[in-house]
Amino acid sequence: MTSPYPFVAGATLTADQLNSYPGLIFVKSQAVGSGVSSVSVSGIDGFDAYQIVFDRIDSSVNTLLVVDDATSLTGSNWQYTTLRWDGSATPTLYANTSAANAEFGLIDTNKSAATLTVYNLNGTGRTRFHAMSQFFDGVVLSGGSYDADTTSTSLTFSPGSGTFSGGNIIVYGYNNA
Amino acid sequence: MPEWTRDELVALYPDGTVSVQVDDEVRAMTTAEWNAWIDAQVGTPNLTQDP
Repeated sequence: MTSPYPFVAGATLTADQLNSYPGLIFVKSQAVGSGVSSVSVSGIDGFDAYQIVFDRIDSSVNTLLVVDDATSLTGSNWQYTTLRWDGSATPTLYANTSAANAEFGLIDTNKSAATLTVYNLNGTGRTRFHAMSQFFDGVVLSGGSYDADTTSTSLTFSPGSGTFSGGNIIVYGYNNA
Repeated sequence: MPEWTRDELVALYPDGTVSVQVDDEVRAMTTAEWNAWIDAQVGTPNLTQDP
């Protein structure tokens, strides 16, 4: 597929060109309720990769941010590494090679932010991810995978402790050119 | 690092106050689900202060 860029006035964009557009396309926005222990987001389908934005997430306590999918991505197949740095202390490195979920970030109680990029969720082979989140005055970087030939179209997010109390989870998809 | 105890968790999240959300549908946990959730929370890090 040839890119239509640069766009020319009066030229007609085809459905194929639009469907293969390699930029971010909005998939859905999920408002997060109060007092919820987990939020499952369905309909994550149709793209090579996803950019998931956690916008102004509130939680009941300072806690880890966890992803899994209790429907499809089950078992202790998550592998991940997290680098946590608060700007003043020595960075902490944590790794797990057989977890039931992936602790990909940290959030606090006041409008936390995080981004999670997920690759190959809908295809066979490993689903991979990397993420960045902001916690107090620090940053948490992480990366990992679901090490099994399983496809999924949903993800479940939860605090490692406590409950969510608000915010939005916004899903964008993109296709590789 | 301090960890959450069952007594602390039960005081913070009494039965009937915790829900599960699937897309826009939010439903309260059953007592059995809540007990299992509390048990799973016990021993998780209590990040009460700037790390």
